Amino acid sequence: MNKQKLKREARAWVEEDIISDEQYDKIIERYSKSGPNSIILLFAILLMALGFLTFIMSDWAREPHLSRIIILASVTIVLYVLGDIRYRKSADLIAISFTVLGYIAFGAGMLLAIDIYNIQVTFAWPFIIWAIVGLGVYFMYEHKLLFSAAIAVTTIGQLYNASINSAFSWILLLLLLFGFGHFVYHHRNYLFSYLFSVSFVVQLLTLVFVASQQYYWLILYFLILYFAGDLIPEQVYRKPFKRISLIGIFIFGMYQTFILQDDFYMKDVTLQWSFIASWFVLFGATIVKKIIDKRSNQLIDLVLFLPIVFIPFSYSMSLIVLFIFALGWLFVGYKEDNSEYVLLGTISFLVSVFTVYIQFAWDAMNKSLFFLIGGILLFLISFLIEKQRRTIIDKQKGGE
Amino acid sequence: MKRLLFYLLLILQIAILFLFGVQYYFIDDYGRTVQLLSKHEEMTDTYGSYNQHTAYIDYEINFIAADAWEIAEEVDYNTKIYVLLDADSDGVFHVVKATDRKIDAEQDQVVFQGKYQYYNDMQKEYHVTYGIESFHPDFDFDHSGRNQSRITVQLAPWGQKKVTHIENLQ
Repeated sequence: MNKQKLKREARAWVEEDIISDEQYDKIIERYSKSGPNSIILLFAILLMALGFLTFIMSDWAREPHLSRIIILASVTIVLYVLGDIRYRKSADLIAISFTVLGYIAFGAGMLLAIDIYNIQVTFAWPFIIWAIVGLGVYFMYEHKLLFSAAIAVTTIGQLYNASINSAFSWILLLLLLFGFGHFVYHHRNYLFSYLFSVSFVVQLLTLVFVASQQYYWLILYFLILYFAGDLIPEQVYRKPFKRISLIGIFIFGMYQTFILQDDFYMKDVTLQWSFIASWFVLFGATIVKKIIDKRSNQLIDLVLFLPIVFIPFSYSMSLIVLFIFALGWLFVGYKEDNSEYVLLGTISFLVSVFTVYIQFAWDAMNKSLFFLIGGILLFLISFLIEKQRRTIIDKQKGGE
Repeated sequence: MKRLLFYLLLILQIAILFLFGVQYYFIDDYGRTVQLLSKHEEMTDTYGSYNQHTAYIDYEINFIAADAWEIAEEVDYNTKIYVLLDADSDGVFHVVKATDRKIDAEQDQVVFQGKYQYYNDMQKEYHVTYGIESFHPDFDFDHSGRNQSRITVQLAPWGQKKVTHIENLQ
């Protein structure tokens, strides 16, 4: 939020006796930490972190000699200690920046040691160590930048392990669920919930690929995240969980429309009863939960979680499902006069149209015509979304 | 409390970094010496820029004949493979068998853990890597030679392997 605007608003609250002067000061102080300067610092951290990571790839650094370790260890110590001294004087972003850099220098040192000493990494342990250290450092300073860095390390570690060892690290997933999950739960923060959901989705996506699971298991994983969002009543968890889950399952739905017409790929898809059983339980639980909470219009979301691969005419059904979702939200949105739902419906409708367009037109149409019409279609979509957005803003202004 | 945690965590990180380095030098003292042959003539060479010594070696044990392969079903790329090696009269180790389960080694044998790469249908050979095919050598060796070489590898009790010597066979 704009700080000037906040000051103006909060001043008005004081004058109307909604809050006291002390409360006013506290509120202003809460938002004083991040200014435009914080973006410059963020870039400074990014550049220096890139500096460390490219340094360890340089010819000079890649020599099996203890001096290289000593250099990186001293850099790590200096950065951590500087950060800590500064933190005790004033707990600001500069102090945290030093600590984040120390954290990254430690990881860079570890990766360098693995490279120069040719240490054979048979599972994801370097990243497990790095992530646990990250949790510890976050516990000390409780700053969101440290949380983001540590959760990024965990997610990247999972991807790295998949590419190097073709294996899935359950420890990294457990670290996410119980280590980071603990702080997500106790420190109530939208950013944390979003990062947690994104990491969850990325890790389980890796699991499906690495363990050569049938692709439809993803439906279950997205549904778990969605149901978790439904179970917790607080918006700070519910919104991010459900949003990321819906984005994930929608993209999955689009992807599915492509592979369902690919006979070569579908040949390998077989039905697993363990999937059906667990899906049935979770899906039923989600429906029951929705009805108990009296949010039955959100049942539209669930149409995306149907395992349509198992039903006849699955290819056309996969497209129909996307449209049911989009039109359903459009309908509910107009009925309840909720512009957010209308926007959700519009965007998903237009994206679905585009998916269909690609499917049918790619084979049938002259390629230049395909791109031309596709471009025009995208123009129209952006125009419609922009128009929708403006009406929402107008409405909000009118409501004030 | 958090004060103490700061120092603990810092010491832990520095200790981990040094542990990685120090274990490398301890391999020489505590490791078991295993001698291996390179696969082909003319295959041992170093590439890369002058500063960045990287040696690439194809070992004889990278290529496992189909009759030593004791895994029934097809395995995926990068699957963990346990390879049992046995010493001949010259002290050079050769492949006895490869499995996907942990195996125990006898007196003159060692077990190497590797990763499955591919199957060569022409040669009827399975290709397995052990993580010592490319490394930064900290010793000098004659890489102008075009002959088969005998490579000395130290196998540490904690599972790390280190190439310590390369000798050209005439």
